[in-house]
Amino acid sequence: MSVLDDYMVHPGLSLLDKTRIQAQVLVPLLQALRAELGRQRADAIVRQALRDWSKQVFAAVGNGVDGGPRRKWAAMHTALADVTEREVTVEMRRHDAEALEFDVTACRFAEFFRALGEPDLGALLICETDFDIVAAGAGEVGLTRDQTIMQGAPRCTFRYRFAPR
Amino acid sequence: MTDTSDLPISHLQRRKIEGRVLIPLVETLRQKLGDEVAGEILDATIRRLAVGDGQRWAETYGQGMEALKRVAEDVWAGGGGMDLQVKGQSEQHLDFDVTRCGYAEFYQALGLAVLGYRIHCNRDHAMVTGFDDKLELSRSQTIMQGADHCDFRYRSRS
Repeated sequence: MSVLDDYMVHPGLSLLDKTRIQAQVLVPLLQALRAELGRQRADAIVRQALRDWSKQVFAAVGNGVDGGPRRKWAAMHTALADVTEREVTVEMRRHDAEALEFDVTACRFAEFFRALGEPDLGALLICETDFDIVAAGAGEVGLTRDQTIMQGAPRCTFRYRFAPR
Repeated sequence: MTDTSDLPISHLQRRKIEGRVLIPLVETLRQKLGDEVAGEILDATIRRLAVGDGQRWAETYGQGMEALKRVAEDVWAGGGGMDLQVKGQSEQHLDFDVTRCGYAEFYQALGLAVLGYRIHCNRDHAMVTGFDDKLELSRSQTIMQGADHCDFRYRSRS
């Protein structure tokens, strides 16, 4: 059992495969929207819809975890790491009571969405999730991430900060 | 687009995974664009995907009524996605009823049967044109719409 079982829908499927299935219907719909509305408006509507959806999904998951913000974040962060770690290469830089800092130097999610020519969709479905999970740790966990591979950078720079206990 | 047909999950599971993200997106589209425009864009997209599914299944299963029956039994009903009863079959026709539908149960449980019809049932006509354009489907009722069974009736145009 994982706190993300419902989010994953099917326990035997990897997050990358789940996201590939969703992209198969989302990309044609996005293309149809762009043809009808123009790229800027279509992308803005999809962005808002997927951000709102993702925030709601992870807020609901967080509500189901017992404990304070730090504990909620930790439970969700660990569960997400369990389903993403096979797709990424991580260089740990710092892990102590005050901070967790690591770089992702290779990412199959980014490879997939960049090959499709839809990195913004990939960011909405994958990268933004980290901030929705941080929201569950509000006040006790913060994240800055200046760049991501999905955006075209050579590495993603995850810098978590923890409030003193 | 990268093919995902090799993944070891049922067709129903695949549709549920799609639905997780498609349903909230369609809801936003309806709010922003109105029912009519959102519906037209959704229908066109689903039709395009369904034609592609039909073409892909024809490559795997072949064309004609026997191949179509295998698609229904192996793909749609695979893993308990639905129960279907074949009522009659020849080279010219294939009649079957769906007596339980996991796809309808999924959308009905969310209170979204109208959207479920649009996303799911509506694609069956377009699928046939991609699968074998000599075949056509008529269907007077579906479980998604509240009937006790769906009556799939395929006929060969020739």
